[in-house]
Amino acid sequence: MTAYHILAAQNDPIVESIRENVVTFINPTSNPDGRDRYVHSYEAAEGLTEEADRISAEHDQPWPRGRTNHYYFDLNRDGFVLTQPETRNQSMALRQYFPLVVMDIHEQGGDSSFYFDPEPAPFNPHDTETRHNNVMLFAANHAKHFDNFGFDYYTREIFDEFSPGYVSTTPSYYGAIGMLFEQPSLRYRRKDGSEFHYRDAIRNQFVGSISVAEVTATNCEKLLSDFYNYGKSGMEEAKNDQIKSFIIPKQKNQAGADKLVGLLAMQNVEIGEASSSFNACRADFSEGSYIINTAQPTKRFIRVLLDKDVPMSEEFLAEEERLHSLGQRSKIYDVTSWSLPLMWGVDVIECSQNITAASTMVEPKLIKPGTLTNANAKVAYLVPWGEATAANLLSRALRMGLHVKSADFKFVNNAVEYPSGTLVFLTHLNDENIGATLAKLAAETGADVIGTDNSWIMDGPNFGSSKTPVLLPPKVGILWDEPTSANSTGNTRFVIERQLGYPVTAIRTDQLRSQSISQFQAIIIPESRGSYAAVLGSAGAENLKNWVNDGGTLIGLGSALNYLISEDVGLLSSKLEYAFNPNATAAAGNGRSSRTKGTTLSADDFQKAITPDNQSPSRMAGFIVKAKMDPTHWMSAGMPDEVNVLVRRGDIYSPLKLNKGTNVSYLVGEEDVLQSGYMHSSPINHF
Amino acid sequence: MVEPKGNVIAFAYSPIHRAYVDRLNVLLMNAIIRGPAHSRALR
Repeated sequence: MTAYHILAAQNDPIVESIRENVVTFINPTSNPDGRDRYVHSYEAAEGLTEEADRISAEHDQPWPRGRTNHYYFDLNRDGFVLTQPETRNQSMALRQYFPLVVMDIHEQGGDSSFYFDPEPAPFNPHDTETRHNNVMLFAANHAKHFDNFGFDYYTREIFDEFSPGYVSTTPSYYGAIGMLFEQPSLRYRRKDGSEFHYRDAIRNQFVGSISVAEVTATNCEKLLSDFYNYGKSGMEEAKNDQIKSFIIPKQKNQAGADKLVGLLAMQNVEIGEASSSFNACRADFSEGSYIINTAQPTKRFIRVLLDKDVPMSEEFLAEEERLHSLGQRSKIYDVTSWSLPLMWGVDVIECSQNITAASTMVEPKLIKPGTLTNANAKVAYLVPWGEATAANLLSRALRMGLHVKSADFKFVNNAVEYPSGTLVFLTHLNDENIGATLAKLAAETGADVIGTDNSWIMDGPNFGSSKTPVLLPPKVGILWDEPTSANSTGNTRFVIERQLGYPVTAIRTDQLRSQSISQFQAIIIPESRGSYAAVLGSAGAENLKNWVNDGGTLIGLGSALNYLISEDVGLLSSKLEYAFNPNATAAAGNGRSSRTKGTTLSADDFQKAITPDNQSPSRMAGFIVKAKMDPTHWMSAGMPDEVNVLVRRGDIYSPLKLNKGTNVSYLVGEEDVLQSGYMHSSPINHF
Repeated sequence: MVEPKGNVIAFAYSPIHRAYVDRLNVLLMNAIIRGPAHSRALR
């Protein structure tokens, strides 16, 4: 309708100005799979009349609902990692044309009116004053039109743009004005009894869209020069920043480093790969290290993704603490940290110098082909374990039926130390083409393969040791459908299938009540929204327990642990902890009396008096913490001694007793734990 | 009571949240491939 109006309207000065000054691109749907599910479930439930009641099936989409894509990703969080084809292609299209204004025309719940930016705090410090001021130009124009038509709207609530993952924020980091509309769509009876119609939704989005194009047309020269100045001012700012470059040295997790620079290069960041060794910031770096000088047009984008922490203003944080102490809802919409170096485990060094060492430009590619050394090895081919590339090679090898073993511990062969988990392809247990096969897999997956003519191990388990078990291809299942969280189950399946290359069978949870699962060697029980106990019942719980007793590997994620630790299931000997509260008041009142002793309360005492002795840790927007790994357990094979974990839930579990299991990974003390982002202060949250 | 032959591997925080946390992918791979390799079940 917007397209038709812009193309066909006559004698409308607004449209004439738009046609004269603006090229408008319309992406009719950024989530085709989700849209199809939504439309299909709506049409499947239609009756004689159009239904406005929120309890009706048309308004109550079945699992997994329409919000997400095929692998149940929320595409409106994927804007900087670009793991999904929809977001990646949209991002690449934006970078082909660099639109000056990008609108995310979004849907929200039926009781809301119409939302447009300006957005509320917290503000990202790498966002610009210019964009904020330009957003106000648009907002003022929308308000004028909405007032003319008498449409309700609201601004500065809920939808902050602090994280760079949204459709509306990502374009802002190449210098566009990214903005958001939110409004209900379907016919809907609201709480106040009024009825909202689909035609209202179309009309409002249409008026908003024309208003955006109108402001863009009126200010086209300003917006174009703002776009130019965005890059220019970024380069100028960089000269005065403490951080003038990031150096990514050659490292153990080189696959992670390669992928990180590839992802940045896809998003227009210029990165050099050092042609020879160099010295910078009082350290030596070898050839092949990556250099990112921040004095480039994408400076703010680089800082947003590579800075260890992106702070919120002190004023905002003080208000957050106040709300938190009163048990009120946080104003933070989503994650407060998304540091790629931390989440991807890549060493990135902040440097206060602009680096001039000779380098070649990095290509926008996520993996570098691996190599095979010693192509006609006599005894075995080894693949060091720990990087995602080796995991991909393993998936391919298992699916092809190659024979592969893996060492539980690190070992030394031919004076080279190999990490725990290293893959061992013995020549006498594979066919004569194994060298050529692995060379091909190395090139395709990015993993390096080293042939050895000598089985002698100086330190660690031999290839024939029981500590070097055979890895057989497991049949892996994941629980699917109610009560699982579609995001959790779908995203997990995506990572295993599309990032690690191994197939996963989706099993509808209620099948476990009656069907054998003996064909599976591993089953993942993902996070849930509803109750596993309700869907599985006692028959499903027995089935799972028997399957584990018979040898199955059950992998629980996040909130699924609450099911595994429950008394009826008892597959995990842990308990949920209350929030740590050093101020817990022992027996404040006396027995059944409705009276309690009189007190005088200071502000501090008052806070203590209103804080319940026992409460669950509060839900967290999302931050990154450090966890230690036990390097002697096979679960931590190839992993570093410390890893970073993204925490987005409040549940805290007691550690397992030694006779009940192994704590392979655990959070380190309160002082050290937080790596990045905002965590509400104690006593509510305490690991 | 018969000694259980399998494993229960519990992640208190999902290692794959939104496919953001790449470094933990190998940990999940260890769970699905090495867990069965360390099972006491006959294959």
